[in-house]
Amino acid sequence: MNQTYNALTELHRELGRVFDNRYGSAREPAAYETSNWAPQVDITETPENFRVLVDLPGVKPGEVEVTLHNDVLTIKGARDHEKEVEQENYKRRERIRGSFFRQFSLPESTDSDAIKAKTTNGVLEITIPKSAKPVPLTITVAGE
Amino acid sequence: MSTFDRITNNLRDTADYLADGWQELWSKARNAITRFTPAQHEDHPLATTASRWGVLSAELRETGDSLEIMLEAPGMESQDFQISVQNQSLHIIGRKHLHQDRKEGHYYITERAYGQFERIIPLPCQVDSEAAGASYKRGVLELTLPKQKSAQLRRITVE
Repeated sequence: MNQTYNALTELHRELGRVFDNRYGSAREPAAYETSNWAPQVDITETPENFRVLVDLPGVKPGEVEVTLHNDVLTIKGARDHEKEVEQENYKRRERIRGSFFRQFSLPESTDSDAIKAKTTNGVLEITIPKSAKPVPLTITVAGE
Repeated sequence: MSTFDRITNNLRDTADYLADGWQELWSKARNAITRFTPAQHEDHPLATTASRWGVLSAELRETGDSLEIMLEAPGMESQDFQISVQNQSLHIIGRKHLHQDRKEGHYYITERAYGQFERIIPLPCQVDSEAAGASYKRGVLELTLPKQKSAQLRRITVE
């Protein structure tokens, strides 16, 4: 009987975690949980580079920050903080204001100095060239 | 409290929690989630793998003499929209194209939707669609629909 009770408590806790944490991923850093929304992305890899497309409608170029550190790409920012006026005139309000955050770990070493980012029609395009492949190092094990 | 009561309470709490969470999610996202129909015979790796659902958030504000509508639709051009007003509702049809120059490579994550979509937004009053204005900036479509004379806020001065 006690086992059933424990299982239910666990289920309850798990559901709480999923619903409180809007995106439900335990692996994401804390900043993800405190952000208001997460933009949708496409990530492509070509032999020369990685390309990331991020949907950021209504976000000005100065409102987004892109960083690349140890092959971890972070995209964060905030929008429309100043526009919280005249609440009562809205008949429909689906847009989410405030901060956004996404982070990706890139599968290969990249050249962080050559990263390029531009926005067109509300889409942020980030191009990250791959760094030159390190030459495999052969280590000879010396005998006794 | 007996074990049976505890189980009953716990079950009820769980059910309430689920219902609340779903209700919140539903009320927030229900209208913004839009179906995308992919373009036929598209020769592009994303034509079959891209998401079929996009989140196009809309906003409708009413001022004294007009309605202001915003729709988030990033990655399009102004000519990709077809906008009309029918039976006191706004119809927006859009076509988001796949870029042929982005065909190469391996896609790791594809969350963005492509293809055709349609959103119908009910309007709170009659509008003069002839005098409507539209612009597309930073991925946001903005429309201004002047209200018909009869629906406008009239200020009456008391002598």
